[in-house]
This record gives sequence, structure tokens and C-alpha cells, in this order.
Amino acid sequence: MTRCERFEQEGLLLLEQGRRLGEHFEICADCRTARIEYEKLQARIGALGRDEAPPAGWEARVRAALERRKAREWWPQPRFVLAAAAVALVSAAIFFAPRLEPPPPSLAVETQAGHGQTRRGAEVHPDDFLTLTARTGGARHAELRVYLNDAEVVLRCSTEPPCARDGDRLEATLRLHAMGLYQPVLLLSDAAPPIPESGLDADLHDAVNAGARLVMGDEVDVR
Amino acid sequence: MGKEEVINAVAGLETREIIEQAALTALDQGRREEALDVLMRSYGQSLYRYCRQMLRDAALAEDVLQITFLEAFRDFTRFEHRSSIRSWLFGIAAHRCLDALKKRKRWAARFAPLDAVVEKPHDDMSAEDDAVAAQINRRLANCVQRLDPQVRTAVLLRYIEGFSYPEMATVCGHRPATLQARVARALPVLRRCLEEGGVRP
Repeated sequence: MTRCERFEQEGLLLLEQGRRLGEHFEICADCRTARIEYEKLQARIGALGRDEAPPAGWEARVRAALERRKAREWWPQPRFVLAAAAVALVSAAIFFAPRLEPPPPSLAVETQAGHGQTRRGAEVHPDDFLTLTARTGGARHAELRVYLNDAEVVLRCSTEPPCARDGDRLEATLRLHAMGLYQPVLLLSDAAPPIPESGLDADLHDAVNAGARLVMGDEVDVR
Repeated sequence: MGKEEVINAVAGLETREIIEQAALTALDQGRREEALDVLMRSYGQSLYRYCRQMLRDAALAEDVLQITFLEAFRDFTRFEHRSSIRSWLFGIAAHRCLDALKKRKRWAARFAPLDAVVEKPHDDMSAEDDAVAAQINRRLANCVQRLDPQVRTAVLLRYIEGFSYPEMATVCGHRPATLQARVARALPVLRRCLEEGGVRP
């Protein structure tokens, strides 16, 4: 294999910068060969996965997810509509309660820009807010935790503020005060799990040994 | 670049302008669902392809694709027109892919025996491989997968999506010079990786 190290060290960067190659690269036969091979390599990278298409129905799944979100946002409606809906829901709940299984446990993680902040793209910044919405799957005890950088517990609650439990639904909001990696976790058990004191891995290990089930939320990287 | 490639590239740019204009008009008139449909139809496949090459996991790539459009829909009102919508979408996808990779790495470290969803590299260069090109592509995809995620992001955006460096800077949040250096350093690494597998570009 012919190789011109100078082409690899200088020539490739010059080409990526859109600059002209110097005289050496025109004269040096190895460099010319290397250039041709790198152009082939670039074309090959460009062809990777050319025929890959997303699985059928993905657009419908995005729309369905949007509808679910909209349904959650629908609540701030005129009071009488809310009252009617509440009566209907309570009636339905009483009627169906013995027959319906609770929905499976889940933990949804959303972020909102902090007060007075404008969000740029999808990045999350200090002073933004993290909202956790959990389904407890009928568990007797449900606890939300958020670990910062796998070490510090920055949120831990069950039924007390900042958590709010309403039947199977458990919610909490947290201000993301510092940069770092925030890992939300939902712990489900019959009794309160051991007190967290040793960081994410050890705490969750203890909780699982004590019979807890875990639902890990999406990490949030605050930069 | 040959004449046909130039014509295709120009046609691609014109098409992209039409797409961007259609989406922006819909957004300006408050028709967010219509804008979303235009963008999913136009950029869905290329975003998926990018995610698939980044993650090498079809299910995870679809998840990230969905998250990208859901976040875009949520943040349409905050789109500041500092870049094209395409760059903005790829910016969301790029960050979500990196998040997914970090999460997968952490998850694998924690629950390694339970986790086996990542498509395994095909290192076997068996005689049964019928097409040399397919063999090279498989090997190359594995080599790309071995790059650091930030470097992989730059390489894929550059060569698969054909982003310019200023566009890549808005997608990745790094300076063009940094991205140029990353890509230029990655190419010899890929070449050597191919050669180690007995493959020439």
C-alpha cells in the first residue's frame, strides 16, 4: 500500500478546509494515489445505509404520540367542561375499577425552559425545569428520585412535595440548578426502599435487593 | 464531482429550498401539523439513516427519529431561523443520538448480561460473502462505529448528509475548524481499520 504521511497529516485537512494543496502534493506520486483512495473512501462512507428506510408506520407513531401529548395538554378548559369530564371519569372509574388493570409502570421525562429563558434547539441549560410524570402500575409505594452525575440525590419524594400522587399517577417538577447529567428513576415496591446514601449504582442495587422494581427515565444532560 | 453529480446536487438544493419554504410558510400560518408532515416526509428517511449509522440499532434509531420530530413539534415556536430547518432537525437528532449512546453505554455497564440489542459488528470476512462491495461496506460501517461518537457525528454529517462545515457547526455546536480537523483525522483511522480487515477502500 502506498502511503504519503504528509498527505494524511496536511493534505486531508487542507481539502476539508477547502484550500488548495501545495506543490508537493501535485508532484508526489504517492500523494496522488493516496488522494484517489481517500476520495473512494469518502464516496463509500457517503453510500453507507443508502437504502435504509425507517420502519413502516413511523410517521403514524409520531402523530399518535403527539395526540397523546395534546390530550394531556387539553385539561385547561372551561370549568363546566372539566366538571362534566370529572363526573364522567369518576363514574367510569367506579364502573370499571374492578375489571381494569392499571397501566404498566412508566416514567416520562420532559424539560421546559426556565422562567424568562428562550430555548435554543433541544439543549437543556441550568435553571430549566425537569418534569417527571410516572405511572406506578398499581404499586403500593412509588418513589421518584433524580441523581446528578450518578452521585448526588437532587430529588427524592413519594407522596409529599415536590411529588404529587393522584392514584396511579405520580408527578414532580425539579429546577435543574447545575450543569451535569441528571438520571431520573422510578422505584416501585410494597414498602419504602432503603434510604439512598451511596450513589446511583449502590442505591439502586440496595433497592432491587429489597424487592423494588426500577423504571429508568431518559437522562438529561444539562450544559 | 462529475456533471451528473453537480446537476443532482443543484436539484437537491432547489428541492430543499422548496421544502424549507413550505414548512416555514405552514409554521408562519400556525399550521404546525402541516409543517411536521412536510418535514417528516422530506427529512424522515435521511434522519433515520443518520441515526441508524450512529447507533447501529434499528429500534433505537426509530426511537430517536420519533423523539426528534416530537421535540421539533414542541419547539417550533422557538425556532429562531438562524439555520435551515434541516440543520435544526439534525441538531436535535445528533444530540439525541449522543444521549442514546451514553445511556446505552451506562446501561450496558450496569446490566451487561441483560443487554444484547446492539447489532453486532460483522467481523467475519467469510468466503460466503458474495459481493465485494457489500463486504467493504459492512467492514466500513463497523469501522465508523468504532470512532468516538463526536467524531462519528462529524464524519456522517459530512459524507452521508453532505453538510458544509458552517452548517455542521450549527448542528454540532462546535467551530468549523474543530470539525474539519476531526474529519481529516478520522479518515486515516478508517482507512487503517479497513486495511486491518484486509480491505482496500
